[in-house]
Amino acid sequence: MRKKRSVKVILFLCLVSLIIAACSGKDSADKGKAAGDALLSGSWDQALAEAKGQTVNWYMWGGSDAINEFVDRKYGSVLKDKYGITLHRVPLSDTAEAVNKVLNEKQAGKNKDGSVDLIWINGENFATLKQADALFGPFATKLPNAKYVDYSNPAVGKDFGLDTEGYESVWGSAQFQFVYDSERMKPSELPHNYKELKSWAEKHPGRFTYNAPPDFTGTRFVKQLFYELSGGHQKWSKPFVQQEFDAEATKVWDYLNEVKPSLWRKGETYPKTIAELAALFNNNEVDFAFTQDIGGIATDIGKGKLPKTARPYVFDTGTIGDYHYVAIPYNAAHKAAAMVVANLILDPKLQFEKADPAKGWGDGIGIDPSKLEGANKKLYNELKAKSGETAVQADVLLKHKLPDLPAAYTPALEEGWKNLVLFQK
Amino acid sequence: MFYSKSKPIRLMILSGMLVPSLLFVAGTFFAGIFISGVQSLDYFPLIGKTTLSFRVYIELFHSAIFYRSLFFSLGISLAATFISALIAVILALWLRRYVRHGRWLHFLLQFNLPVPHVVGAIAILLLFGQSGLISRLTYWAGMIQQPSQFPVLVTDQNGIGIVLEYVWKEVPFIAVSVLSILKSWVVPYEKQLQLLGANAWQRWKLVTFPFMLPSLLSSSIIVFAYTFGSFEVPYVLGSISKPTLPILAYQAYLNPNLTYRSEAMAINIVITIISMFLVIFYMKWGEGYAEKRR
Repeated sequence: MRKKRSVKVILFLCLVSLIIAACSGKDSADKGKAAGDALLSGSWDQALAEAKGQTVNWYMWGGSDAINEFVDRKYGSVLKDKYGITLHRVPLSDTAEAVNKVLNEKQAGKNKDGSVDLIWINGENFATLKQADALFGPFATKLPNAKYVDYSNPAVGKDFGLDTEGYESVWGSAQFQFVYDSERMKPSELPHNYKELKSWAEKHPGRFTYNAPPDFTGTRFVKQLFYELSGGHQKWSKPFVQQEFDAEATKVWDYLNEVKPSLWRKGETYPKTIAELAALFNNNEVDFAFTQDIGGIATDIGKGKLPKTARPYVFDTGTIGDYHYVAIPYNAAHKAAAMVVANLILDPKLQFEKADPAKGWGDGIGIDPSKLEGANKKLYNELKAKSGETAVQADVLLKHKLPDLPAAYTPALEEGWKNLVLFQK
Repeated sequence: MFYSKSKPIRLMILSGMLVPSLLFVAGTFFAGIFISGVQSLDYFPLIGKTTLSFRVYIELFHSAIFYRSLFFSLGISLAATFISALIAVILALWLRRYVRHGRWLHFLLQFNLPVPHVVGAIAILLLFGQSGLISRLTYWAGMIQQPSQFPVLVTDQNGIGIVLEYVWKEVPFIAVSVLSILKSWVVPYEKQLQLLGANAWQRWKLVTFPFMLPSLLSSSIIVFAYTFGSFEVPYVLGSISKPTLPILAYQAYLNPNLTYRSEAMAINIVITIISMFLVIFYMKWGEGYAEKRR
């Protein structure tokens, strides 16, 4: 008897708690929006004044020690010393986690003081947030350093085919490259397209694998295969049509299933991240790794993540390259400080430091070199002269650069890979 | 001040004191389940879905991958629980003989309790991976010539690595709860039985085992329920082609296409319901046991 009553009391209390919790939602959405609008229409000095003393929560993929270190040490100290801003980097294993966080907050009616101030973003994640109307802006062209960026270049102004319209500001550029060990392989033995890769893998069973989509480079590896087997990237710049996609994608699934028995662990499993793939390569379990760093792999070699004799190269059929950005959620608590960060990372000197494998991590620059003058121009030329054998030459990269697919293809390829390759016996 | 002779008033005061913490616990817990439940029914205004339907569940219950993950998860939990319980009982029986060294034995037994599962998982990975420490030692000893010759123990198709981690972590947990029974009020009964001339097997059958069964069973249910819903261990140690249910939910949740969100939530609800059943089972069982004891 007694027990029953206490159960009732607890249930009642739970109910009360729930009702109180439910009532606390829905506060003034307009207030947050008005503050944001004032920021967009005000002067840059006002933004700097507002940003002072704020803490920026920057959500970003945290899978690379070199990137994490550069962000914390370099940006962190400049922001602190020059602008009085504290940088708080929040590492993610997948950018979609930050996207979900913003969407959850939007759904819960938390229209201001959100927990995410800045996201390192591109492609389908940007598309998701933009379509859900969950981004702040347009702010990109408001930044003083936007004068170095050529947003009229479609490669910069469009992200996976979607107009950025100032809702994300460029940070850098990347291009997919294969990495091999010159100690284990001669350049003449290297496969230079997916067809050759397949016969190479069949001749060397267990020595090749790729990181599983939806890990970024893994998806990109599959996208490039899609281009090669479907006769080039030109026909895919238009919006997604399921039937046309399926007709060509079948070839991709066939290819990947045929090569599967020759892969590492017979394709029973795949490395989950690009870091796992690099570890397999470094441990001499497989003969290829991937990189996205235009400035080369010297940073990872220096950190012991890749062997000293590792070299990057690209397929003759080309590899996908693109720009990556930062975006501010519509409900960010510290929009002014986030804008200061977005502006700072475009500073030419910091762009060059980031691109220099010795100081940054070899990320490609996001700014347009033709817009540089004087000392900055000189620095850029010095940087260009630096790239040695641990980097693919800039003009070779550019010649083999392919655009990425429109955003809608990414989930289609990822789902298809999961259901028709990964789970296929 | 908090004391009153009137029972209802005491109850009210007590309730009043509980509200803040319940607000927090119940608020977040039930709100989470409620939102998952609603989203699993395809209700997602953010992308313009405002009607309820069982579409996702119907799709889920027709999906071979879902069943494969479900049975894989159940199998892993069952294997991990059974092996942990077995080792824990043997360990507890063996350890209680050394009552005199109780303190440091207890310390040894409990030292891994505060270690988070994910740390254990990474340790297993570094030890048993194909290029892990043990593999390197066997290579150094000349037993293997290539990493690929080392047996696949982590990220394998059968969840060996996952079970290994759970066993490592849960054996002490079960052993501690069994040992506390074995060291306390079982002893006089056993002595009594011994005086009456029962042999070791009879003592085990009539006293030791029945007396430790409740705590063994309840700790095993906790282990089963925990391992069934755990995400980080299969994430680190599992093969990507053999996802457990929580991994399957996570994969759907991360899909940039928001229409997959309801699938993730439906899987979470399935996990919740199975765990609820385990809790009910646990409570029923505990109650029945308490009554029998009285």
